[in-house]
Amino acid sequence: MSENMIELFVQGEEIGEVALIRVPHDATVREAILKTKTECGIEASEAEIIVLIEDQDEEIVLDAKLIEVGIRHRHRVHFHRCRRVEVSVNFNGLTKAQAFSPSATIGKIKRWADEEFGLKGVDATEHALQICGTSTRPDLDVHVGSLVKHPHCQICFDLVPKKRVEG
Amino acid sequence: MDAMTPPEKVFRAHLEKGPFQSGVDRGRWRLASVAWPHSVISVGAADRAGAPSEYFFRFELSNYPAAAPTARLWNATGNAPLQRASWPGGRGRIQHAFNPDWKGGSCLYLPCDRYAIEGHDPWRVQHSEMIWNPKGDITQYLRIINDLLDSEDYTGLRGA
Repeated sequence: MSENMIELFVQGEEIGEVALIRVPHDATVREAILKTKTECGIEASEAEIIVLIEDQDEEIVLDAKLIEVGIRHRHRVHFHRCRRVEVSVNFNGLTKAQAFSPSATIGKIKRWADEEFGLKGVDATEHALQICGTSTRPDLDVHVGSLVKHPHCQICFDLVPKKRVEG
Repeated sequence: MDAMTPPEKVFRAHLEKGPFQSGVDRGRWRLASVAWPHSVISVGAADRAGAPSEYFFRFELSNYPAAAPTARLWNATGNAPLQRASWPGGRGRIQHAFNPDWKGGSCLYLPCDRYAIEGHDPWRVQHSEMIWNPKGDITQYLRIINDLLDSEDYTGLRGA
């Protein structure tokens, strides 16, 4: 890879799995969006898209250069039209809800859910977030925004035990 | 002449993509070698006294990704199967997944493994989240191993 290029891990709306895009190190945030739109086939216009750094709430200015807003090689960014994602988690007949940044990782939401339901130590590591009505358990590195599409900025999880493989 | 088979081309392409590279960047796994149809990949483990920070697995990847991989614990230095005393040990899910007595330690006891799934059709319902998806990539298998080695059930080396 050229010394003038950097790689970014990108997740977001209409991006099925974490994408690794390469852009000039002096590119603007808008140019990074356009590159991702082309490579990932995103239909939303860049004017609608907000840019966030992983697990952060502040929106990034589109015309700033990546380096000016602290985005460097192999940093993790998120593109989405939702500004917040309403997350609800069910466990033992109770439901807890909280709005998160679309760039919040499942790992961050899992730690919040563990705290809300009082799960610690082995109890916490032996449970996973599973999308309601499915058997899908997103990886801890997945950004919650990549699981929803504007204007439906909400998602429901069940907190389920990780079963032993036996039999 | 290009001697690389289509499965190897797909596998090598997956190694360069976001999901695999994201795990490398997080220290969850890293590529050690590819000698088709095998690849040795190390997977990170939680800190435990006297235990390594990573374990190596040799994957057999024929017909990847249409067919599920199979993997065994590997001594990367000696290029041989890992001795049982050096296998990861622990409680619950660990002692089932990493069982050197099952099939002579030739594969992991996991639903995503090509050989382990044979004769275990109920797993397709009981553990549907761990069934190999031919539309996915090697990180499906790596995430499951990494989750085990990062769990409270993992206590360190199995020992003699």
